[in-house]
Amino acid sequence: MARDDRMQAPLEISAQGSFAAGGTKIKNPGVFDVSTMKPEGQTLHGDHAYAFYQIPKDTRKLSMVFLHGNFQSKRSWESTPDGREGFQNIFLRRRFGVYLVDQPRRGEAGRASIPGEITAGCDDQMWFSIARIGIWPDFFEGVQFPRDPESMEQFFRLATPDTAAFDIEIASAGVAAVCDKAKNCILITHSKGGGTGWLTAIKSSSVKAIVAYEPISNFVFPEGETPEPEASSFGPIAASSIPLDDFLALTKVPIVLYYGDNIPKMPSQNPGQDMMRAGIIVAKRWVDTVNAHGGDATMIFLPERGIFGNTHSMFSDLNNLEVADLLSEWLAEKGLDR
Amino acid sequence: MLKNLNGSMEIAEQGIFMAGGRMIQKNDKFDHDCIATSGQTIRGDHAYVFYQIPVKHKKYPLIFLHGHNQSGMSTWGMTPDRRDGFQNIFLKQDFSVYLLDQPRRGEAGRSTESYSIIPEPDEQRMFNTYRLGVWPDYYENAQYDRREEILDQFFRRNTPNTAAFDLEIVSAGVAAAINKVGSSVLITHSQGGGVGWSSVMKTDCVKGIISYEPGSNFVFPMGEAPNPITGYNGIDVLCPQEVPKEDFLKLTKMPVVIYYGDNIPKDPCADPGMDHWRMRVIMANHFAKAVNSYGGDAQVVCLPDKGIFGNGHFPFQEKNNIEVANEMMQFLEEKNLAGEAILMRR
Repeated sequence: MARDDRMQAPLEISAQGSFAAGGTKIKNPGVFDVSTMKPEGQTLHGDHAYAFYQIPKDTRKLSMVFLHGNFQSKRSWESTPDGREGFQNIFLRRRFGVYLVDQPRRGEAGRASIPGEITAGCDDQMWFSIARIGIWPDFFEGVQFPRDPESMEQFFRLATPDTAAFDIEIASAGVAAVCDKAKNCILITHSKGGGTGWLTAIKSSSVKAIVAYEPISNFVFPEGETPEPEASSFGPIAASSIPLDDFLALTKVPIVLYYGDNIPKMPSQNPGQDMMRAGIIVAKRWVDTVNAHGGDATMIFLPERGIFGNTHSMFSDLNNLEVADLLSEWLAEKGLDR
Repeated sequence: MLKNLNGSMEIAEQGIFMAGGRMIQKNDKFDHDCIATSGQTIRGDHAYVFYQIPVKHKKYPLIFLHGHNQSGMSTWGMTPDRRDGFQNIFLKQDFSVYLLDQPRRGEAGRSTESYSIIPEPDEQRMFNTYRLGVWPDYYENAQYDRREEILDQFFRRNTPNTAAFDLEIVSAGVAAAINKVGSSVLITHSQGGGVGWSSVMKTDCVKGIISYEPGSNFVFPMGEAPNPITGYNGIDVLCPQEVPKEDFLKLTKMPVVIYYGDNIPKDPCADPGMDHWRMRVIMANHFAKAVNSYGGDAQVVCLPDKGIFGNGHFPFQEKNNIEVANEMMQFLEEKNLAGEAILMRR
């Protein structure tokens, strides 16, 4: 395995563990017969979220709950494809309690209440494109992703499927239950987890701030204010409508959205880049809507801060310490790091 | 004796990696302008490893493998009633700890083969087969917290295969993970026991094996397997597996201990959960005898014989898991597997 040879102080962990949160329970009709062990009268617990947590010594008031995106899992935040520390370790070192979530029907939370079909489609190269590492087989110039084959191998193997159909209501209910167990927390989402995150924050008053890395889908608008879907070469990027009362929960907590590099301004035939371009148009409308209702949402484009080459997973890029510093600055500015 | 059970943990390093696995490629050229599968690859069937290395650590890391429908964290992490599991207990004894998810399970869910998952309510069967009791009653001495929310957490640890269980693919992934770790002690649970024997035959790195309640895929040299064992009800049949003798001999090169818990009868019994494990203990004894007949060092320990009572199928996370860990620690010490690492300058 890749080892980071820099001398680092040890992590002092005062507690670590895992739990299931939320979920459903179903029961077959009939009475369970122990002599036959037939399905009648038996139960199934499923559709819960899973969280692994670590609490460092002298922990800060707010902990961090990390939610992955599509086809990913808590591994997004663990060590990087080239074996460096990811946001899990980086923010443990910065004295935050860290909760890594697998949303319902993913990873360790694979037990679902409904059947699931998993199709093993050949799509590694699509993920290379969507991650904006480059245009297969070429890397973007200056991209903050390691070029060695083993890192590429580890990156591809981060994918993991849904064990049953994604359902944003079930996913956000599970993640909200994790946030409630974590108590006061900063919810940090990636990609498709962004959309799940907005609904999570509406369901859980434990969420005191939201940090979204490259959210592009499932933006929620108050009824009557929802924009039309934005076309892209990946497909349309659509938003959805929710009652104004629910939406207003998103105006009560500070929110920041981060976007990386190599996102075109004009329509592009490369779907991975173009979905981002279209998603950002919707995201801008959303940020304006949140702020028009009295909220505090900010979009940060890393290249405008002089940080270049970042991919869709900037928190595990080569410069992820710089990306973490940017977050630490924002947390300090909002008084979220006490 | 175990130490520092209430203290914090000083972790020098923690992280993850994927090991082994397969890659499949569609033949045509990949065209980035469309999201078609032509020309693309899929990588899957790897194992996932989460590791933690304490500041001062023992020479041999402990590699933990789960069983059927479980994962590394669900089995060896925090217990359902929120106490330290073997992960923390052995970190606190200064062992490096590697938790595996085998290919097609948990964090290693990506497979190169498609699959349909059909969830079936089966928790009352689990309650019996895992020897918590006879549903809905716990055995009188069962080492389980009886609160409903704890049982709820226990059931939610189940997570399905994301593609068909395939002993060859699974053990290849586990062996690849072991090879990345290097010389180490392998600890398995239940179905992981059988995966463990197969994995050890694929690597030279395993210095000791500890197997909790192995229940399937016991291996014997070709032509030397005992007869299948049939259960009380005549339906449950446990078959041994035959492997080339030179592979089997690898299992004679390191100390092996197999632990079983309580409430396993000696004679055929109408309770299918109990009877299931009676058959397994018999087969495990055949296995240990076969290993020892070729100069190996294998033993089967039924915990009640050591004065440890009430354990079900998950002794390492039940109420007396400190006692169970102590037993394992004694084995490690007896077999010289708990020595200090030679300090190395980084």
